[in-house]
Amino acid sequence: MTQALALQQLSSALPPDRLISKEFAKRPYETDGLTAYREVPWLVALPRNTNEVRQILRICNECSVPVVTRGAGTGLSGGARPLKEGLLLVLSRMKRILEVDFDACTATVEPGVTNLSISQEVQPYGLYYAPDPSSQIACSIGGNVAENSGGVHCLKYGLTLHNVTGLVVQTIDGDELVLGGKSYESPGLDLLPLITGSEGLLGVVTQVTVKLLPQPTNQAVLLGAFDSIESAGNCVSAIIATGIIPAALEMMDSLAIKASEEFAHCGYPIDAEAILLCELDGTKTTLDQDLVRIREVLDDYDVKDFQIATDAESRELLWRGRKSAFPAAGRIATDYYCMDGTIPRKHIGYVLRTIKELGESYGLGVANVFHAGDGNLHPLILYDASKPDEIERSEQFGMDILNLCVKVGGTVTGEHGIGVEKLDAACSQFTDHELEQFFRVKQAFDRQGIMNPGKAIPTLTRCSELGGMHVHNGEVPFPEIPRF
Amino acid sequence: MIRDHDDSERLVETIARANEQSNQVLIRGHGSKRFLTGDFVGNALQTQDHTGILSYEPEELVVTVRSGTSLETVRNLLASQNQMLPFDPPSFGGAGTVGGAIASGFSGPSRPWNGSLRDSLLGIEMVNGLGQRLKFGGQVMKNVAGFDLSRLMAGSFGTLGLILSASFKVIPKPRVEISFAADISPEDASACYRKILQLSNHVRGSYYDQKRMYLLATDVEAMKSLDLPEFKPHSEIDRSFWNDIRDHKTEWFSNSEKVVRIVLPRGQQLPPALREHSVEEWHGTLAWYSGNQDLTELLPQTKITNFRGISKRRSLPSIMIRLQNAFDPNGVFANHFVI
Repeated sequence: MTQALALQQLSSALPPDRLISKEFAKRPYETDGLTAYREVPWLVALPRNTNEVRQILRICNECSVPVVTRGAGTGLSGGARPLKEGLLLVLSRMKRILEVDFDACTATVEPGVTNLSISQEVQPYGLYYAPDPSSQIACSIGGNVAENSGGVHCLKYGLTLHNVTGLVVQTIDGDELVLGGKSYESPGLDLLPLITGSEGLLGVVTQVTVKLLPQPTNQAVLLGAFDSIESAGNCVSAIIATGIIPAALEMMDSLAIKASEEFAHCGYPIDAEAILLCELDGTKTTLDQDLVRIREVLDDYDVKDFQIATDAESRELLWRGRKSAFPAAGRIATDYYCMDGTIPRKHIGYVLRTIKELGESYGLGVANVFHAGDGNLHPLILYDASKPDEIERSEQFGMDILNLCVKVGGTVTGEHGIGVEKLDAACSQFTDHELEQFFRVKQAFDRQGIMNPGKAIPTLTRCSELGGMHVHNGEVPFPEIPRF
Repeated sequence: MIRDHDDSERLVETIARANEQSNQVLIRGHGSKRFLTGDFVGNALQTQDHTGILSYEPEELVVTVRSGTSLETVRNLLASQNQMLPFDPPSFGGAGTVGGAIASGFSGPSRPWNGSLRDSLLGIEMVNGLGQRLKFGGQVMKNVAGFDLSRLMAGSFGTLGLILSASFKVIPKPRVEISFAADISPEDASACYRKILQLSNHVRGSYYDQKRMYLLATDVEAMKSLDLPEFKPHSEIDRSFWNDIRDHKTEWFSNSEKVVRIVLPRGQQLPPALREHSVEEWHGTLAWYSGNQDLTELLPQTKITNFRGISKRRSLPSIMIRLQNAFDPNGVFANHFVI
């Protein structure tokens, strides 16, 4: 009944090409980057401007229809998985670059603009946008904000949060929030970090202002190969201890090395147990000094093969293997499950060893590619969905990995978000009171609880059913929150 | 020797009791920012006995400290390992606690290049208005689990809760620090700022008193490539010069009866009429103003701290009031004002 009313109102409020209701046309939107979860939404809306977004939200709010916002659909945690009874708000048609301000070194864009196209736009002026998630060719800046996306260069240049200076957000209650802008501070509470990474639970981002940085003048990429994963892991901490902050510091294990080399032919040593890729940048003098120092550290940790790339072409070649690690994994297994825990760097060796042992006990292969400098792991659990119980086993394995991350002082998600995928894992990270605080914050933005319901924050019920340790006097707080 | 004292039980208990009895508390550290925020009134709940370093592992680039710890203590500890807080917070009058730094959200001269206090804040433990101890964020660099409520505390001025402890990302001190200076007219200042912003990753501070501009650089070679020939290196201008600006120990601040803190958008400076009574940091976007003009009309959308109490009376957007209620439903922190 409410849906019928909503459809009627949406149809009269919007031009006809903004809504998709036919089953076959909705099908492409049934999943995001976490393809194991699928659901065809009740309705897909493709607004072209902020005013249309506001109309859609107003009608959904009046008719109590849940709204799931989607950018390019590259997210890896199912945050944009549609709801059967909900509207899928797709922002990919809002893709104008509204302004580049060279005095302020900022760009103001609509949420559907892809990450890479911002850098491409300002590249002729010697500027770029620093965060570079591996999906940067396709992922949208609005999605980056929703997930607080990282990338290989966030070790030195920060996450999305550190590079966004302003947002315009529409709430389901009809407020337009103008947060930040080009200023380093604005009056009142700073809601920008709250919206960033909130996975579409608090509002819809309709405009983003990002900081542009001068392109580095000199760069070099080093590859170091190691006989043991522990040496490589310990070497990461030692590099950080030198006081040099590399632009990027990545690690891959033997399975990932072999798969990537086979896929990208980038000259990786396939007999190595682990490699480190370290990018440095700076003025010529500093860069030369840093290269010497890093080389010394690698030698201290028994590096057995060493490559250095300074020109653009050879740098690109060394990165190509790393950047194609995910598609490469897709060639050695029919399916893989990408994890995203973060741990203190000092535990890298221990955690990788334990993951390997866990893999053996589950009878599943695992390839590791990750942002070592940040301690952000991406174990790829290899499985075959056509085999009975392999999905379940890989999910259980993944859960063990995330619990391990929390145990050593880390977190269940470094950059991919909780989405639907890590709701259970999040239970181990938060107490009842913390979860209640999250829901009170959500209610401040979304009284009916219809913005991306059931994502990102696990309900207390879910956690109590899972662990038996979060039961709260048998009471179910926030009974109005839909449970899945 | 850093004093290690856990006063959290008393702090939590006091807030829980205030909540039950519908009382208010007023969170107080060293009170070093009172000259900017005005005097909040109420039953002071002192945090300064809640001190100590909970963990510091230089190789992890993270420090976790209790909120009553003085900034000076943290600075000295990090300096002993050749590290620093990226945002280098001000210690006005030499005082200031970690909790107060977070509550105000103020960052020092390096803010445009090293990021803000908020940017380096990795996690907190706090007490909300219900007297509940809550932990958000953590000690790792990347963490997107749950809403980022720890960073929301930066600049919240005690309206959301009391901070018990916090983890910060730390960075190595720059290997080289050299100050450059030149006589620059106010008309030419903006061109200098533009070059600094567009071309250099190697500036860490700027200060301008409307006659002379000072830049703190971490790379001499990079500085030369900026094409600002009038700027000359001055080895006699050392770190203490920048610390004095940060902490308001310079002559200009001593001679100013009252100062107003104004944060402007990137690429903008104060209008000329205001400029002559001000000094500037952050490539012109942070101005300290000591004049008497009416700022509300001249700078309507700007964050202004301490202009005849105007910041306190500014009405908050309804979402911010709802958020305060989400943390403090019964108004235990109602005597605090976000600025």
